[in-house]
Amino acid sequence: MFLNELTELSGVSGCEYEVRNYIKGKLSEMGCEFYVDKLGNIIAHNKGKKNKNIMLSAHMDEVGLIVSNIDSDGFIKFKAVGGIDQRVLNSKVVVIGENKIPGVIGSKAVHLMSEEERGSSLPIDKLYIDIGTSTKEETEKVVNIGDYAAFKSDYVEFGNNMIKAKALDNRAGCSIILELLSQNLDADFYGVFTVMEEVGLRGAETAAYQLEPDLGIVLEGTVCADMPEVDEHESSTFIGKGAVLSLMDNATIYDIETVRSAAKIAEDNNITYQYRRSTSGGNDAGVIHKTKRGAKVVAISVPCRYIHSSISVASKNDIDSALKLTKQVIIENQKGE
Amino acid sequence: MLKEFLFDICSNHFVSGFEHINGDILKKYFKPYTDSFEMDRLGSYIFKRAGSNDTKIMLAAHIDEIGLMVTSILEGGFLSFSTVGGFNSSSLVAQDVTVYGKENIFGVIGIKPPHLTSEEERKKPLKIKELYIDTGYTKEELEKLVKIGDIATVNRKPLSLQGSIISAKAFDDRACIAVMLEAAKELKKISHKSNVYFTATAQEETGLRGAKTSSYKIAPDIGIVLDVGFGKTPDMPADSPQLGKGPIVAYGGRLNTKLTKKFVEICKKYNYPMQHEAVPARTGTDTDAVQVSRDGIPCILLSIPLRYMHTSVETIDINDLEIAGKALARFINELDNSDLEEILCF
Repeated sequence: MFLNELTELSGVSGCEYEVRNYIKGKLSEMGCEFYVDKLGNIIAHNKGKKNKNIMLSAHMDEVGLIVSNIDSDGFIKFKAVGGIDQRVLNSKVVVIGENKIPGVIGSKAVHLMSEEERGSSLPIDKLYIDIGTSTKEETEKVVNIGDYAAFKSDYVEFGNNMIKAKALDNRAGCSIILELLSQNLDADFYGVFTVMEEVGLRGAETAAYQLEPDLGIVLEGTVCADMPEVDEHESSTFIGKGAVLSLMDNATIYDIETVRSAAKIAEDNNITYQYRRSTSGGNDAGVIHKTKRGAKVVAISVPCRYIHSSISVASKNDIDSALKLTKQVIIENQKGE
Repeated sequence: MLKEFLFDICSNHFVSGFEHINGDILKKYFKPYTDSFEMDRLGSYIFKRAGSNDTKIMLAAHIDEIGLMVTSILEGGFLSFSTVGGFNSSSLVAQDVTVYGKENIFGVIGIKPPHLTSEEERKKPLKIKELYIDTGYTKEELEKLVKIGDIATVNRKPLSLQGSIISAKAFDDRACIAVMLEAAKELKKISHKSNVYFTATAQEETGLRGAKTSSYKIAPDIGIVLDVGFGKTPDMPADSPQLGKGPIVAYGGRLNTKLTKKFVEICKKYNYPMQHEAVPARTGTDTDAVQVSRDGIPCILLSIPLRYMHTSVETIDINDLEIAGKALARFINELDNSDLEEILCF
C-alpha cells in the first residue's frame, strides 16, 4: 500500500508538488507510461484490452491553509484552502512551505475569553499560526505570504483495521489508482491524478478534455458521519460496510445504469458495497461528465470519518473493497460485447 | 538538558489524581540533585535538598495536567468522556488521544465534516458532551479494554519551533518543574544553608489540593510558587508579558510584599530579566493554598509566560526557564545570608 507515504505528504490545492513527485517516482519504477499536463495533472496509461475509453480519476490535493499576512509580532494570519470547518483548527500543528517550518495554531486562552467569546466558535480570522518568532522580520526569513500550510498528522493504524491520517480525502483514491496501475491488468484505462479538486474541480476538467472518456470512474474518500447521535439517514455512509457508490450529489447525477451495473458486479464478486445517502458535496465527476459531448460517470469511494480535518479515519477493509470493485468494473467494461 | 527533560516528561501523562503512574520519570531527574524523597498522601512528590540550618524553603510547581475521563462505552466503539480540570472543548476537536485502559488505546475526537453541517452549526462551539473518542473497535471489543473511569490525554509530540521556543501539552506546569530542576542543579553547586523542598504538587488543576497537603507536611518558612502565566498573543493587550523576557513576578494581596521585593532586588543586582504583574487577589495558583497552610506561609509567585494555556500546543521560551531557575538559586543563596526573620517580620 502506498497510503502511509501518501498521507504524510503535503499537497494543498495548487501546491501538489510533493504528491505529484511521489506518484511520478512510483510510476517510473513501475515502468508505467505517463505525462504531466499544463495544470499539473498526472495522466498515466495502462494499456490493455480495450472496449471503451476509461478514465480513472483521483485528486492529489487536500484542504489546507495559505499564509495571508504576518503581523508585527511575527504571528501568521491565514485563509482556508478548500472547505474547512473553523472548529477543527484550534490547537493543531501545521507545516509551512517547502521547508516545512513547524507552527502551531493558537488562539486566545479560554481563561481570558469573555462569556460571549466562549459562546461562539472562533472564526478563521481570529486564529493564527505561531512559529516561535517574535517579529515580522524574523518570520519573513522563513515564511512568506502565499506559502501553503498543511496539517501535520502521522499515519496511525488502530482499532479494527482502521487508519487515522490527514488527507485520506483523497490519498485513499490515489493509492487505489497506483495499486491498479502496478497490477499490469490486461484492460485499458487511464489513471489520472488530478490537481485542485478542493477548490473547484479544476484539474479534472482539463484532464477529461484531453482524454474524452466514455466512462469516468472517480475514486474518492467520501463523507461518513456514522457517529453517536447522528441519525442513520444523515450518516451518508458507514465505515466498514464497503465501497461506496454515489447516486447523486451537488455536482452530478450519476448514470443510474452504470451505478446499478457496478452494484451487480460487486454482488457477483462478493465485494461489500453501500450507497452514499447524502446528496451534499461533489467530486471530479461533476466536471468529467460534462466534458465535450458528455461521459458516463461512476464514483467509487472509501467512507472516511472526519474528512477535511487533520484526523480522518478509514477502514483498510473498505479501501480493499473499493480497490477490488474498481478493478472488476474496469475488467467487465473492457470485455467487449 | 532542560529541553530533554521537558520533552521526556511531557511525553508522559500525569493527569490530576493519577500522578502516581509515571512518577519514576520525575524521580530519575531529581534524584541526582537532591538528598531525600517523600510523598504526601495525595501524591505530591517532595524532593529535599538538605542544608545546614533549620530554615525550610518550599518550591512548588504542579506536576498534574488536565485530562479526560471515560464516562461510557457506546455502540460503534465510541467513548464519551468528562474532563479532569478545565478544558476549552474547542481545543479537543480533531485531536488524537490515548486512552489508558488495559493497554494504551489510540483514538480520535472527530466531528461531522463540513459537507454535512450548516454554517449556523459551525459557528457554535462544541460542548464536551457532544464529543466522542472514536477507537475503531466494536463496543464488545472495547469493553474488554477500557473501563469507565479510565483516563485519556491528547497525543502531542513536543515540538521545537524557531529559536528557543518549544511547544507541547502540559507545559502548564511542567515548565516550572523544569525551573525547579534548574534551581536544584544550581543549588548543588553551592553550599546553601536552608533546606530546600522541590515539590511537584498533585491536583492543582482540580483545586490546589496537593499544595495544601504538601505544604502542611513540609511546614516551610517560606513558599516559592511557580506556575505559568499568559504570554502575549495578538488577542491580548499590547503590554502583556512576553515570551523570552524572563519570569513574571506577581504582586498582590496573597503574596508577601517584602519577600517579593527581596527577590526583585536580587534579580536586579544580578541582571536577571523579569516582567511584572499585579494580581490583586486570587492568583489561581498553588499560592492560594500554600499561603494559608498551618499558621500561614509567606509566599512569592513567579510565572513563566506561556501561550495557548490548557491546549495541546502550549508554547514557551526555554530561556525563561533557565533564567528563573538560576535566579531562584541565587535568591535562596542570598536569603541564607540575610536575616530572614527581619524580612518576614511586619
